[in-house]
Parts: sequence; structure tokens; C-alpha cells
Amino acid sequence: MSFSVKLDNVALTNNPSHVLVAEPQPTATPTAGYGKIVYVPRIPGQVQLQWGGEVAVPAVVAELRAKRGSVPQHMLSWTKETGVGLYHRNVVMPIIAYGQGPGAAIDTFTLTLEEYRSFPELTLWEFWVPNTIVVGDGQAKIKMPAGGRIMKVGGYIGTLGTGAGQTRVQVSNGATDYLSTPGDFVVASATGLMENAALVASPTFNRGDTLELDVDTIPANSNSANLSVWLCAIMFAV
Amino acid sequence: MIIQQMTTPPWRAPGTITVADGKWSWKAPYAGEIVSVGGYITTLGSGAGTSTDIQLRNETQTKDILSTVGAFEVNSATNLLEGQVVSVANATFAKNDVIDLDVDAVSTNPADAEVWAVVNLFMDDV
Repeated sequence: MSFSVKLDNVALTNNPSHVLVAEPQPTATPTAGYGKIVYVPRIPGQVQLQWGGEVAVPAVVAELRAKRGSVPQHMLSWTKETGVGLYHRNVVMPIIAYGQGPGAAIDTFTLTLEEYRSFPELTLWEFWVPNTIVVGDGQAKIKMPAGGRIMKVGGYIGTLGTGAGQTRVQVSNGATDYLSTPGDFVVASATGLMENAALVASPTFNRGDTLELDVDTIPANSNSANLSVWLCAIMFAV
Repeated sequence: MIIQQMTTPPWRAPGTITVADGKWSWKAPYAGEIVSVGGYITTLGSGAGTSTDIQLRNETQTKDILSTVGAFEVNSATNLLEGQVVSVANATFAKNDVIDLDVDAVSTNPADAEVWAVVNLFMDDV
């Protein structure tokens, strides 16, 4: 059975015939009193892609070179043997070149990719404002356990409200706003999703910063309710 | 591109829950796939043998994500969502797809539910 393999969520034209995964496994050592010590190795695993003679090696190398580009880190995905579902790994791809072999036979070609644990970590934080919404800074707050950078912002409102205006929100650290264009939940929205929000050029925060959701405006009838605004942020170690 | 796994913000059904599509929505910030789904309901409602059944639906691609809907059984001892099965064929979503919470059935006067999903996100901007 051949595998369906994707690089950065795009299927390879020249599919490998095998995917071999070599990953260190945790080990458990029994101790007195029915306890155990679990050792989790921190060395990275490897994924080997093997192409047989059914595809031309130059074509494989050319495709891998093109898909790698100048970026070593990539996402590798492949189907399970049942043909459904996907395995995924973050891998480092070496620079690949093609040289003249010693003979006329087409050799199998194996590419070893080292896994890596992606860092910074992506996290999601939610500001939740239940019930009727009122104007004011700091309607919900999060104290950040590490520094980081906001990558995405979005939201949904359970009750849009009525009347002129909209529920307009800003995210700040108490002093600096993170949205160059605030997020709007317009009363005529067909989806309830946040609109218009745009992040500033460098929406970073420090460890211990308190991020807050500010409500700048509400509809004229003051009846919007149940607001959820979320941030996707990559977190640093400090 | 890198893959990272995280939990979505919850889809909510605040207050008394009624049967309807699109009770809550989430716009996916990246392409990805749904790995598993869970949920909790504060008030189970009443009515012997009934349940409050929920579905997650990819509104953008018009497909149900659960091949078996999740149920808040009226006689649940835990108030947790039960029985839900993620459809492998429908688990993937594209960037900016809108995923909705649908309520397919209700017990008598259930209230205040939350549903969440563990997702693999394919980050294309790092």
C-alpha cells in the first residue's frame, strides 16, 4: 500500500513508498511500594521517507527542493495504513541535492527528517463576558504567565443587541492597545462573529502583563450580551 | 508551516437551550483538523430517556463534523457530553472556515452548555 504524504498540508506529487518513524519511547522502572519512575527521553525522533524505483529520483529531489525552499522547518503529514486519518510531525528538512550515481540502476532513496518540538508554543486565551454587556475597560482580564505575541484575534457574541451602533471591543495591556482597528459586533450581523479587528504591527506582551478586554461602545438599546473574544498567542519562555 | 495542538474556545449555549442550528460559532484562525470533542452542561433538564443532542457543523463547507452526535443524557451522573464520534472524513477545516454548534434535540428545559474541541492547527505565519 502506498502512503499519501503531505508537506505543509500539500500532497507530494512523488509519493514515497514507505514512512518509517523512529521515536524514543518512555520507559517505566518499578520501585518499592508499587511506585514507578517514568523516564521520558527528550532526544528528538526521526521520520524516514523512502522512495523506491517506481519514481525517478531526480523528480523526487526536484520536488523536495522546491517544497523545502529556504526554510528548514516543515510540517509532514501522512495517512494511516487504513488510508484514513493523518499523522503529523514537525520536522527539519536538510538541503537536498542530486548527484550522479555510480551505476545505471535506480537506487531507492531515503530521506531522514529529524523531528523537533516547535517553540514558541501556540496557546489560546479567551475573554468571556457573560450576560448583558456594558461599556468599560477591563470587562475581562488575563494575567499572562509568560511573554508572547498575539497572532490572531476573533470573537462571537451570543446576543447582538438592537439600536444604533454596535458592540465594539479593544484588547489592551492597560496602557497600550493591541488592535489598530477595534473589533465590531454589528447589530445587523448575520453571523455574530467579530468583524474589522486588525492587530498592531507588534502585538507583544511581557510575563506578568494583564491583558484586558475593553468594551468601547454598545448598541443604543444596551441589550447586547454573552461576549466571547479569543486570542491566539505564541508564548515565549520568559 | 508547523502543526500545534490546542483546545478551541468553547461553543456556548447560554440560558435555556432550544433546538436550532448555529447556536454559537467559531471562525478558525488557521487550517486544521478536529481531533476530539467534549462538553459539559450545567442543567440536564428532565424527561425520562431524553437527551440534549449536539452537532458541530462546518458551515463554510456544509458538512457535519460528528458522525455520531454528542448527547447530554438527562440521567447523566457527570453532565458530560457522551457518545460523540468525530467523522474522519469531515474533520478537516480550512483557514477562516466557520464552525457552528447545532442543537439537534433537547430534553425538557436544559440550560447552559459548553462544547469544546481539541484541534490540530497548521500555522502558516511562523
